[in-house]
Amino acid sequence: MKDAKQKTDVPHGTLGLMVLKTLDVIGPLNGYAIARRVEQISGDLLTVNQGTLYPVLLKLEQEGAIESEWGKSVNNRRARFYRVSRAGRKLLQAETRDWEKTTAILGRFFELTAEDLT
Amino acid sequence: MRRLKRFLARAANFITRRDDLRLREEMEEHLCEQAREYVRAGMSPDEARRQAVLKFGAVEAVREEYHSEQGIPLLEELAQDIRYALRLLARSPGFTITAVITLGLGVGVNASLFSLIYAVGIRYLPVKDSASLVSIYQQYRGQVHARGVYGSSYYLSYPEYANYRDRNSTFSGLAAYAESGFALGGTDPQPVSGQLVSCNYFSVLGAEFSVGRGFNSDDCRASAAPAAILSHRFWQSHYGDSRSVIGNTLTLNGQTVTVTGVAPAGFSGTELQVPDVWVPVTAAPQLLPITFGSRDWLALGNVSWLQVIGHLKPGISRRAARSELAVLARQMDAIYPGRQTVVIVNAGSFVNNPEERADGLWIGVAVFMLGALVLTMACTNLANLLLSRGARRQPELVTRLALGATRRRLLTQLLTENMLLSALGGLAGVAVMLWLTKVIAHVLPGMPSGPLPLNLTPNLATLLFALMATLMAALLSGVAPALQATGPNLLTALKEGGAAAGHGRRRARLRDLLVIAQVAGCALLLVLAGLLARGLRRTEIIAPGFATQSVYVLSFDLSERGYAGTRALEFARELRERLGAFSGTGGVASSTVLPGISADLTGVTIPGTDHPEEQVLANYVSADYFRTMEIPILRGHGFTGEELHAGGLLPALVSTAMAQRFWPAENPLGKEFLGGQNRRYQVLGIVPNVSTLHLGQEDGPIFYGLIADTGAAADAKMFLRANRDASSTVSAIPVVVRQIDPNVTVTTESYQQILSEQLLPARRGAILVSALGLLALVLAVVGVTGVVSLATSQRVREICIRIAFGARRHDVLVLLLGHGVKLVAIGLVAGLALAAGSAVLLASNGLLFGLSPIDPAVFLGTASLLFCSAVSSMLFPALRAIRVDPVVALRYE
Repeated sequence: MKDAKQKTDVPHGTLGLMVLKTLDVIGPLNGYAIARRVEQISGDLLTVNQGTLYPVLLKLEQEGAIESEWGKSVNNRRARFYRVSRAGRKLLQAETRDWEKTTAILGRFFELTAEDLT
Repeated sequence: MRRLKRFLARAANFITRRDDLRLREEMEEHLCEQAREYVRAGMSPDEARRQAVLKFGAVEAVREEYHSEQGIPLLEELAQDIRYALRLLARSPGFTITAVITLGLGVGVNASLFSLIYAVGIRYLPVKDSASLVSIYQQYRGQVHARGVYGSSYYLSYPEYANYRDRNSTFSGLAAYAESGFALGGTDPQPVSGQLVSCNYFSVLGAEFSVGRGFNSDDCRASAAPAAILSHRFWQSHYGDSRSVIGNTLTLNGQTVTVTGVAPAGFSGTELQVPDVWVPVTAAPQLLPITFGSRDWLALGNVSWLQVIGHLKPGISRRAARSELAVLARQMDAIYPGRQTVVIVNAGSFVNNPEERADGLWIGVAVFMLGALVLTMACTNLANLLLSRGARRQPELVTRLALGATRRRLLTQLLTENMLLSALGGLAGVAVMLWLTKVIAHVLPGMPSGPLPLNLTPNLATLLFALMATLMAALLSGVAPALQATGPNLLTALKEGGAAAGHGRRRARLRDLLVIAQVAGCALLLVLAGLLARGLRRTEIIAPGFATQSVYVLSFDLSERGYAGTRALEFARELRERLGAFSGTGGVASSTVLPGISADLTGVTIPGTDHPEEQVLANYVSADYFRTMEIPILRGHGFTGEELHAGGLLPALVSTAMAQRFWPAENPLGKEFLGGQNRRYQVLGIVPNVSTLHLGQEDGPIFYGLIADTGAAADAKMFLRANRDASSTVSAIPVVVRQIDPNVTVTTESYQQILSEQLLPARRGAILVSALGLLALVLAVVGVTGVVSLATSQRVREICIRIAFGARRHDVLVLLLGHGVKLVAIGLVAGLALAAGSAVLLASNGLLFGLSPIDPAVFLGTASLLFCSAVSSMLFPALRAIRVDPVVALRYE
C-alpha cells in the first residue's frame, strides 16, 4: 500500500480546472490526450480514473467553457477535440486568481509559528 | 450565467432525449489509444486492452454519471414515475374509472355550485362594458319618514333617480327599472314577465338594435301611447323572427301597446328574471292602474321602488361616484329633517342589492357546506380505493423495497400516481361542471322565462376553484393511503412473505372510520332532503283552512299619508263597504297579518284563576273576515258589528285549540280572558284551527279580535275574495280607493302568488339537497362495496379453512357481514343525530312547514333505505367469497 500513499485523489471540482488549464496551454486535444497530459503534469501523482474525465468535459462544455468538434486522431481515426472558448479563458483566469488567493492564505497559516501570535 | 447555460443545455438534451452515442465512441477511441500505448511499451494486445480498460475505470459508472450530467435526473425520475403510473392505471381500468368518476363528481358538483354562486353574486352582468357598470342603492339613518317600500327599502324613488341622473358628473349614464308582471292578450290572457324602464335603459346598457329601435323621448312622455320592446326570445317564440312585428300592437293588461323594437339576441337585461317585454316607466299608470294608477308615482319622493344602474365614466372609481352622489343625497335630505341618506354603490353583478347580498351570503355558505360534504365523501371513497389498492400492491412494494428502492422513492411513486389520478379526476370535474351548470341554469325552478341569463363560461376564477378543489381532494384522499402503504409495516410484511400484507390493524381502522363517515354524511343529506320534500308536500296536501283561490291582498300606504287610529279604521270601513257592493265580490275583510305567513304573538291570562300567562297567536280582523276567508264558525256566532266596545268586554273568537287549552272541561262560550295589552275579551264563538303561522302546520291556540278594538288599523291588509269576473272587480279597486282619498296608493296582489313565492326558497333547497343526497348515496354504496369486497378478498384463506373444517356457509356469511353491518349502523346513528340537529335549524327558519324536525317517516325511511343499499352492496362480494371452492383456493395459496 506504499504506492497508494504517494498518489493522491483529485480534489473534488479541481479536475475541471486542470482540464481548462491544459487546453489553454497546449491547445485543442482529444479526451485521451487530455487524460495523459493531466497525468504527466502531475508527475503521475494524481490517480485519475480516466473515465471520470468525460462527465467533467461534458459539464464544461454545457457551461460553455470549452467547445468540441470531430477531428482526426493521431492514428487517423475519428476523435472529439476540445478547446477553450473565450468564456472558458475568463473562467480560468477567475478560478486561477481564486485558487492563488486561497493557497496564499493557507500558506500564511502553514508558516505560522508560536512567536507570530504573541 | 454559466449555471443558466448548463441548465438550458441539460433541458435541451432532456427534451430531445439525447443519447450517449458520442460518449461511447469517445470511450472506444480512448481505450484504443491507451491500448496502442501499452502495446508500444511491449504488452501483448490482449493484455494491453485489459490494462487500458482497468485504467479507464468502471464504464457503466462513467456512463451513468455522464447521463445525469447530460439531462435533468429529477425530471427523468418524474417522467419515469408518470410513465409507470400511466401503465399501472391503464392495467386496472376498473379502479381508474371508478376513481376518476368519483373525484370528477365531487369536484364537478363543487365547481358547479361555485360557478353558479360566482355568476349570480360576483361576476359582472352580461352586458357591454360591464366592468364599469355599478348599481346604486340608498339606506337611511336617523329619522326615517314613513317611506313606502315596494320590493326593497334600498330602492330609489323616481325624483331621487332623476336628481342623481341629471346632476352627476361621474356617470356616463344612469338608468332605472322596476320589475313587473303583465297579462298578455285580451281574452284568456297569459302571464309574461316585464320591466318598467327609464327611457335611457337600453342606451346606458349599450344594447344595439337591429330590429326596430330603443325608446325615444316621444315614447317617454307621460301622455304617449305605451310603447314596448320585446326580448329576443319572446320575439322568436311569438313572432317567429318576423321583422314586420315593428309597429304591431299587443295587449298588455288590457291596454294596447305598440312594439317599437326587439332587444338584440344576447341582451338579457340586469335581472335574473329575463323580461319578455320592456315598457317605459312613464307608461306605468296606463298599464298598471291597480298599482300605479292612484298616484303620480314619478312625482313621489319618499317611496322605494326603482333599481338604478349606471356606467361610470372612464377612470372614475366607485368611491368617487359614491361621494358625489352622497352630496346630492344630502340636498334631498333637507326636505326630511333628521334623515340621513347613505348612498351605496355596488359593482354590477346580478345580486347586488345589499339586502339580497346579506341573505345570499348565508345561502352561499350553506350551499358550500353541502358541497364540501359531498366532496369529502368523494375523497373518502377515493381514499378507500387507494387504501385497498395499496394493500393489494403490498407484495410489489415489498419486492421493490427489497431490491433497493428507498422508501422515499416508493412514496414519490405512489404520490405521482395519485396526482395523475387527481389530474384526470379534475379534468372530469371540469367536464361535469360545464354540463351541470347548464342543467342547473335550465331547471332552476321559478324561472318561467327560459334559462337564467347567467354567464357560466369557465374563467380563471372558476377553473382556479376547480383546481383548488382537486388539489385538496388529492391531498385529503392520497397522502394517508400512500404513507400507510409505504409505512414501517412494509418490512414486517416482507418477512411474512407478502401473504398477510394488508392486514395491518391501523389500515383497517382508518378504512372503518372512512366507511362510518361516509354513511353518516349520506344519512345527513338524505334526511335533510326528505324533510324538505315532505315539508313542501304538506303545504300542498294540508288545506290551510282558509280560502286562497281568487283571493286578492290589498296593501295601502296609509301611515305614510298620515292616517292613524279612527281615521284609518274609517277609511278601511268605507272601502270595504264600497268594494263589497260590487256583484263580483264574494267578501272583503281587513286583517293585521297574512295567514299562512305570519301571526301576532301575545300573552293571555284568565282572570280569576292562577293560570300563568301564556303566549298565544292573535289576529285582529274586521267582522267579515270569517265569511271572506271561508272559515266556518263551529259554535256560538261571529262578530256582529264594528262598533267600538270601549270600557266593556271585547268580543273574541277562539280556535278549538285555544278553547281546549284554556277551558278543556267547560263550555268556552262566554268565558273571559285578558289578552293583547290587558284588553278584556269574552269568547263569542269557536272557529276551527287553521294554518296561520306556517303553511302546512295547524296553529296552536289563536284568538281573533276586532281591529276596531285595537285602534291600530293603519298597517292592516285587506282581503278581497272575488266570486266571478275577478278582473273587473280587481281593476275597479284603485278607482274606488281614489274616490275615497286620491292620495292613498293601493297595491293588489294575488294571495296564491304571495303564498307560492313564500315557498320558493324551500323548493329550491329541496331540489338541491335531494340531488346532492342521491349523489351521496351512490358514493356511499360504491365506497361500502369497495371496502367489504377488499376485506373479504383478504380473508379468503380464513374462509376456506373455516369451510374446510365444516363451518356452514351461512355462518361464514354472518361473520363476513357482521363487521360491515356494525360500521353502517354506527355511521347511520351518527348521521341521523347530525341530521336531527340540522333539522331543528331548518324548522326554526320555517322551512319545514310544521313537519316535525324528527319526522319518523323520513328518519326511518332514510335509515332503512341506506341500510338496505349498504347491506345489499356488501352482500354481493360476501356471497362471492363463500362460493369459492376451498380446495381450489387453498391449493392456490
